[in-house]
Amino acid sequence: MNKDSRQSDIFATFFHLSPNLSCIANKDAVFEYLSPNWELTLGWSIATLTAHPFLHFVHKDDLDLTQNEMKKLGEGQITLDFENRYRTKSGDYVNLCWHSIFQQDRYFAVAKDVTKLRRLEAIQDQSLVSARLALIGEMTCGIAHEISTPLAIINESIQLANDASSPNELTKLLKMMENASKQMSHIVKGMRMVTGPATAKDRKAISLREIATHAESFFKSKLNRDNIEFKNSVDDAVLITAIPGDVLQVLINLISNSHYALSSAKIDAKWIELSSESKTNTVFVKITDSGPGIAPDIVDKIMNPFFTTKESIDGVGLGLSISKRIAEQNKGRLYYAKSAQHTQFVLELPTAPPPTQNNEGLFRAIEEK
Amino acid sequence: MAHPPRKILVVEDNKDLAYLLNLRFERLGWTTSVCMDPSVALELLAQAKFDVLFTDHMMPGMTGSQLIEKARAAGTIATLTVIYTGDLTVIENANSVPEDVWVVKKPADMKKLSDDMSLAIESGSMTKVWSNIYE
Repeated sequence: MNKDSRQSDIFATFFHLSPNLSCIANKDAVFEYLSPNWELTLGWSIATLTAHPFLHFVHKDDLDLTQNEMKKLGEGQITLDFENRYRTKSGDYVNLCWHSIFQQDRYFAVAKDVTKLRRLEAIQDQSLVSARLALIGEMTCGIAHEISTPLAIINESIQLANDASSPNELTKLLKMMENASKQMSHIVKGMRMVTGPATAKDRKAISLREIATHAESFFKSKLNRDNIEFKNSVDDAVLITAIPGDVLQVLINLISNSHYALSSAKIDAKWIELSSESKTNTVFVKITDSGPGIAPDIVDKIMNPFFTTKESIDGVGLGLSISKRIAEQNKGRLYYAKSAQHTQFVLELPTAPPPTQNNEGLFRAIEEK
Repeated sequence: MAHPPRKILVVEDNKDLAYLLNLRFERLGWTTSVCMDPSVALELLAQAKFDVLFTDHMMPGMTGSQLIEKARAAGTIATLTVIYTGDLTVIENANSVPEDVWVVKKPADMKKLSDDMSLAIESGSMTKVWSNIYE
């Protein structure tokens, strides 16, 4: 066996062993060599796949992108993580993620089948939408309650102001109306935060303390009723870069879990604390409660979708996995602090640069918008 | 409609609303006691007989319903009890509270409500009224 033939054998062995879809196509975009996984993944025979230009199998909506990528390859660029969809023999499509190069008039490429991953992400995205809608529903009920007291104050102040016994009394009634009106504005602002836009382009610089205060307002009366103290020691000065409604949703999810755990806990001091610690370009938001922590045997499962310790009526277990995904979408992380003395989750988020004379106007403009 | 002055205990944890309710009932000439803590309200109920217990629902440590339950168990309940609340769960389940407990949704027309409370005490009939008539 000569050297060329030995190398060819080694090459063929690797080609066959690859768990991915390896291929070589000529400059006319017709496959010349295909690893066996192509047949398994797409259902087409190698003979069929090599009988047409590969664009014949590409989803029609991905043709322009694919041709554009081929053009770049022809100009000497390398393709890394380019995705398109290929049609299978049964008429379905698979998502392929490519690494390719064009050399010696040939396309050399390896693709990974990421169909399952993309479907899972689509399901998770749908879960995010569902979770957001559920939160909006819950907040709407909460708002009807929260707004009723300031509304009663305004209503009663107006009626009593008609017969105010002194200018001082009238001033006091007007002040109460003003405070109640501010409280209602705060409630509406929190609601807007959750119902507002939630795409990556909506990430903006916002005060972490402001979001924490909205989360606190949402739980105030429930925690009061259950004798749970709420401590909000989030640093006033911290600005984060995030979608405000996303961060509020994560905080509400975590406080809700703490509230649920403490409600049935047999301990004297019941409290939940929101605190923050800033390090270079990152803020660590700590959500701590006075509970004993999470049992070691389940601690590694708590972030998994559908894992729950609640009775079925109280939750479906999407809270933590959704919160984790929301944190990641905001370029942050969410994890359980195993070494903390109490039950503690940490939400890491990127900080925004503090307003300077130059960008203060910009922040204000973004905020007003 | 003029009614004899009543003795009312207002339990409300929002200090502004507590102040306003106190002002409202005092202007009607009622003898008004106000407290923001339901456990203190239990003590006040034990010390004196009230015509009306007028209570918020969602309060620190005890709900309005629990306060009524405890006062009833202690035999210190007022002649008429009113839960004044914005809590939709309580309002939607108003059917499940006893007949002589009125559930009134915030905000209410307090003039009409106080007339009706006075009339109910006068007539001795505490039959439940529906919150939406005071909107």
